[in-house]
Amino acid sequence: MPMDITQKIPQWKAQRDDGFDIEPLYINMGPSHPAMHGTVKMVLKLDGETVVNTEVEIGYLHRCFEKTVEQKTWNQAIPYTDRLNYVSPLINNMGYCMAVERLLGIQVPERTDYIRTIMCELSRIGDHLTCIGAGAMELGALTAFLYFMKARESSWQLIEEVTGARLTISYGRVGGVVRDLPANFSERWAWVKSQVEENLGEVSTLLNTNRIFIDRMKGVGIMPLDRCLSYGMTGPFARASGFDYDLRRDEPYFAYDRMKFEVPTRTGGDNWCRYEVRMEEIRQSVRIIDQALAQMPEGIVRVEDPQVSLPRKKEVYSNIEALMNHFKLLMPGHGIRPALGEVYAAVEGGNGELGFWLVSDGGDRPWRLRVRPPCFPIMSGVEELILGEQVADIVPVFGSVNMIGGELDR
Amino acid sequence: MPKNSASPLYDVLKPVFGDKIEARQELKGREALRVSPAALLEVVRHLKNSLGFDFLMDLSGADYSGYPGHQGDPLCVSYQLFGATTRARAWLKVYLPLEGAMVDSLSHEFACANWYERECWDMFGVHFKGHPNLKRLLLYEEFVGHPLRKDYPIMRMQPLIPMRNAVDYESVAVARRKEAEEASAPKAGN
Repeated sequence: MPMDITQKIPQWKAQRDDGFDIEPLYINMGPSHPAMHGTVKMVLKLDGETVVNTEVEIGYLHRCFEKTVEQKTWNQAIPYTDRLNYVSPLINNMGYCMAVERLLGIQVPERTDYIRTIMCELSRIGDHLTCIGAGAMELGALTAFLYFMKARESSWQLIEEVTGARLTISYGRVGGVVRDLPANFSERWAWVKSQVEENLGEVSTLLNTNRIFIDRMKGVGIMPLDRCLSYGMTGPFARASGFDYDLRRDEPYFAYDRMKFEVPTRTGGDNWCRYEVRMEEIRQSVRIIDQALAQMPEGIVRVEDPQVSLPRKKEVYSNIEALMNHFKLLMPGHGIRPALGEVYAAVEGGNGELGFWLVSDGGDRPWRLRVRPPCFPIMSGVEELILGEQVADIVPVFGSVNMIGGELDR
Repeated sequence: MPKNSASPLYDVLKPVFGDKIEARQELKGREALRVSPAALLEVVRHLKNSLGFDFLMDLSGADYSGYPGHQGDPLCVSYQLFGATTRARAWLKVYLPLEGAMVDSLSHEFACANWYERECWDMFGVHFKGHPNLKRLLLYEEFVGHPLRKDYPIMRMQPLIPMRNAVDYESVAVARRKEAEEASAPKAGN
């Protein structure tokens, strides 16, 4: 049953008791507004401080992603996927590669599965740290933000050591990853882990008993479970409303079926629950990386399949077969050519289910590449979420949505 | 990989709906059902109320004009349904003509369909009958054409639009909505 949203709107009076006419105030919040991280515009209709109606306008970051990749080869689409969710680009990278592999029907080496699991979780930690840190900063808790940025910096340094870039990493490849983890990865991870856990503890101490933070978060921006399902929300946002669904556990991919971890859920559905779920998920991600590093087998990191993998440079320069293979993969009209078919494959992104619907016509370019952005359905629920709340509450609610313009507008 | 239910959805739905389920496709181990556009709402309601598919995971379009081996209407709208408790997935597709593409809106069944359908209208020009607010989502109101259709050239330039103020913008939106309502009215009777 849909909730009657009119119940949340305070009784609208055309005339006050004292005889003065009142009229609503319209405010444009955004598209460029200090509290709107990401470019999004909200047209607010206000009665005093209370929101009586909203219209959310998105599309300011639209870059024609889906049209552009139809002109590019399957491999050339990989750098574009980095820019979808620029806070956790590795998950997008790996998700796309996994979808193309399902389309091709190839199996990646076991070590690759573990590397992908580790890198995805490292990205997820960064994603949640940014979301909570920025959300706390907007409520005045700058210290928490700085602690979390420090922790995120350490994880980004590790990502840089592995991939060579901090943000636009393009680390995934169809059939594996670009290169193996560096030899000292475990020691470096131990350092990142200590940083993350130390800052997590400090921020928990700062925020969990902070009167101001609790008052701004508890009971604000409630999304009941039935509306959450109707809006098709997934990820930490939905888990805070009691929808116990996590692709890593329910439809395991990569090496998640061999990991022991918990999926934290809450039932309150307010900002506070979303904060708690994200904090807990960071701890679970740390746990997953520890297990994956302990279990990781030795081996190759890219599938030895001449249809998708470039041959080694040494062989390209020394024998004709490898040279031909090299050109067959790089020439226009050749390259990776999945057979006629379609696939929908999804991974658990920072915000929920990140789905790729790929259609191949047998050529070297995608016929259609559709991304199901996880924060899209959540953003469509924001209009309802902030109805009846005060203007100041939009900021923490919007912060807990964790809108990422790159994947929302594509 | 997605869990498969005990029997394929085609075998469950075909006896109930007959010809309204037009075909089944095997797509990398998953089945997609081709549903007649007129029966879409009926099929989705049945899936939602009787079979537990109470969650719309994704709604999007694709243009199959010139796709090898494709027969029938080229414009496809794909629905990824999901069961929040059963954890099963269903994939429905409807195929529409390029001219006057129209299908029933799901926005009264699933709240998220509102934005998904607006995006689909924006990108493919599919008109969703019964949608409360069918206007462009990612692009702007004055944009000409629907860019994800295959006949939209990638290098096409859009006309410059004059600076607008809030009032103009509202009137444009209202006019577009009225236009859309009028377009849907006569066809709804057929």
